[in-house]
Order: sequence, then structure tokens, then C-alpha cells
Amino acid sequence: MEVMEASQATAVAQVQAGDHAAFQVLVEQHSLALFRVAFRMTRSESDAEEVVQETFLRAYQQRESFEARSNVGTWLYRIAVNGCIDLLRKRKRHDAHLEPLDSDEVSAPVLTLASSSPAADRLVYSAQLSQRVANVLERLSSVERAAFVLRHYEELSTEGIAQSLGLSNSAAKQAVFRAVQKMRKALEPWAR
Amino acid sequence: MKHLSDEQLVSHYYSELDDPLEAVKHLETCDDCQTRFAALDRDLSFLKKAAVPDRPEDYGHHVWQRLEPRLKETPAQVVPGRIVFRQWKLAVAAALLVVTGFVAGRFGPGRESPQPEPVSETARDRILLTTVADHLDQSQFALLELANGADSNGLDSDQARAGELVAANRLYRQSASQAGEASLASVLDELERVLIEIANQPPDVTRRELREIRRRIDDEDLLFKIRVLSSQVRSREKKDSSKSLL
Repeated sequence: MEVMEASQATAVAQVQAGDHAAFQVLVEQHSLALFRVAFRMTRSESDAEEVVQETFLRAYQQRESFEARSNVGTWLYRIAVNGCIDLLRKRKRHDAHLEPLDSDEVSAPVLTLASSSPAADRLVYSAQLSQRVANVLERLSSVERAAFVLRHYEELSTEGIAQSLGLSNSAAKQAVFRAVQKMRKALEPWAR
Repeated sequence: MKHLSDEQLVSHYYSELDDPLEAVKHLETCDDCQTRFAALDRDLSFLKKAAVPDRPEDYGHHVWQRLEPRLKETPAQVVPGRIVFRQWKLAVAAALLVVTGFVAGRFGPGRESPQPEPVSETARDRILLTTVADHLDQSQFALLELANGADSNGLDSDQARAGELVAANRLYRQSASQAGEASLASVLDELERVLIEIANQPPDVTRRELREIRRRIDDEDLLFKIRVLSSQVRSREKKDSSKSLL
């Protein structure tokens, strides 16, 4: 771990000096994790791709402000989550004139395609499950959603979530707890 | 041992309890808590199944190929000069000393306790900048959460957080004003008015009133202003931190 931190500090110092090769290493290390977070936040592949690009671009612009004692991954998560929240905000404003979808109306799991193939059934079920989880995630506030994604899927510690979201440890813990409670309530008809 | 709370069960699921052994022992002997934990485990495991679209193994390389041409047009952001926050930091330092003195007097140990070691000016500046930057970040997230929340969520959690932020914001705003930092004081003033408005909403706030608060946050570009301010303070903090290492 100490070796990793030392090499990370070296990489960051090189990036801060404008070394593109060092920045490429960071990009290749962290792209997939950022894509996962961005996709779970935005539920759109193209938006998630865009968030990944913008995150690295902003990180490069703001490389001077990176603090040596921080974790690069946490810093990148922070920029990415901010980007996702901005994007969701713009999307919400854009869609404001549309009739909102009521996520309560999403039906419980029913295989809607008639099929005798178990594999096809599983695919349909998987798609419905993903849609249901997406609908439930949309019921969370942006901070709750980010906290839950970082905790549940990226397995960050409370401290890591707090640093990524600019919250105190207790606020981060509360955000995860509130998200879990809301998710469970919304999933009651499904998860039985 | 009494039953585990829902919050303790969630912490246990994520292996974040301070004393996990105690929880494990309790779960071994308590059917009720076992059942609740099993239900939580089942629900959270269910949520894990939601998939993310596959990316190729060399996805990071693809990202880099798209990104690299854009970097050449992207200079590092310029860090503003030290003079900008100098007086303001001193005023905030004085204000914080009053607050910490009050807290220490009220909640601290008796007078016979040894006095803390004095900290250097650089270290103090760094602490101040960190405190102010954290406050701005927390305010930003509180407003973002409100701006993006569903109408049906109401304002309960937003109000509690806004109430906590108002007191700190007032301190920083007054200090900035006394130090003649008009632009800083102005943004903090705008922030404070919105925070107070959120904190003072009635419990049965209507959707229309919620939308009105959100519209105001949007119209005043408050989030953008806070983000710029926070970025400037963080830059100063980092520069001070580098100097202290020399």
C-alpha cells in the first residue's frame, strides 16, 4: 500500500509538471471505474462516456489544485460525481415540460416476452431488473444516489465517500443509510 | 444487548461497525435481528445484480485516444495570487478564535488544563482555508441535493443541513465583509439568504414553494459562484501547503 501511495504521488507530481505519459497511466487506470459510476448515476452510456471525458479534462485543467495527501481515485470520483449532478440537473430542466414518469407505476417483475428459452427469459428479466433499479435510483436525491453508488457498487469506505462528495463522515454515512432505506422500500414488491 | 438498529445492520452489512464482534455475537443468538439482517442482505444483494454495459478490456486506452488531442488545448488553471485572501483570512482567524474560545470555555476541560501549543501562521492559514473550503463544498452539495431532489422528498433533511450551515456562513460572511473582501462577502451573503430561506420553510412546504427556491438558486447562478469561490480557496490552500513543506 505504501508503495502504491508513493508511486501515486510520483505519478501526480509528473502530471502536475505536464507529463502526458504519466497522465495517460492515470486515465487508463481509472476510466472503467469512472464509467461505472457515471453510468449508474446517469443511466445513459453516451452521457457516461461524456462524463468520463470531461472528468479527465477537468482533472488535467485543475491538476495544480490536487493535494498531495489526497487519493487520486477519490479526487477523480469527486469531479465525476459533480459532472453527473450537473448533467442530471440540465436534463431535469430540459425535461421539465414533459409529464414526469411515476416510478411507482413500474410494474413488478413480469416477463413480458413470451419465450420458451430460459436464456431469453433471463435476458428479459435482467433488463427489467436494471430498469427497475434505475427507476428506484431516480427517487433518491443526487447526493444519496452518489453515496449509494460509491458505497454499494464501488465499495468505497465512508471516509472515501465523504471525501468524494465533500461531506462529513457522519453526513456520508447518513446519506448511504437513507438511500438504503428508500431503495428497500421501493423494491418491496420485487425483492420478495 | 438490545436489538441492533436498522442503521447498525446497514453498517454491519458494509463491515463498518466499530465493534463488529459484538454485533456478530448478538446475531447468533437473536432470531429477530437475524431475520432482519437476512432480509437486508437479500435486498442489497438483489440490487448488486443491476448490470453496467460492458466496456472493452482496453477501454482506458480508448478514453485516452479521444482525450489526448483535447489536452493540448487545455492549459492548467492559473492559481490566483496570495494577496487576494490575505486580509480575509486574518479576519476569519479572529472570528474563529472567538468561536473556538467560546466552545472551549463552554465544553472544554477545566482551567488547570495545559494550554495547547501555538500553531504557526502558515499552519493556521491552512486550517482556515480548509475550513472555509469545506464549508463551501458542503453548501454546494446541500443546494445541489435540493435542486435535484424529487418534489415528493420534501425538505426535511435539506432544512436540517441548511440550519447547520447558516451559522458558519454568517461567521465567514461577516469576516469577509470586515476585511473589505466585497465579492467574497457578496457570494456568502447570497448563499446565506438562500440557506435561511430553506431552513425556515414550514414542514408542509408546497411543491410550488420548493420550485420557487430551486428557481432562485438557478436564476442567481449561485452554484456556479460557490464552485468558483471554493476552487479559488482550495488553490490557495494547496499553495500554502506546498510552501510549508519547503
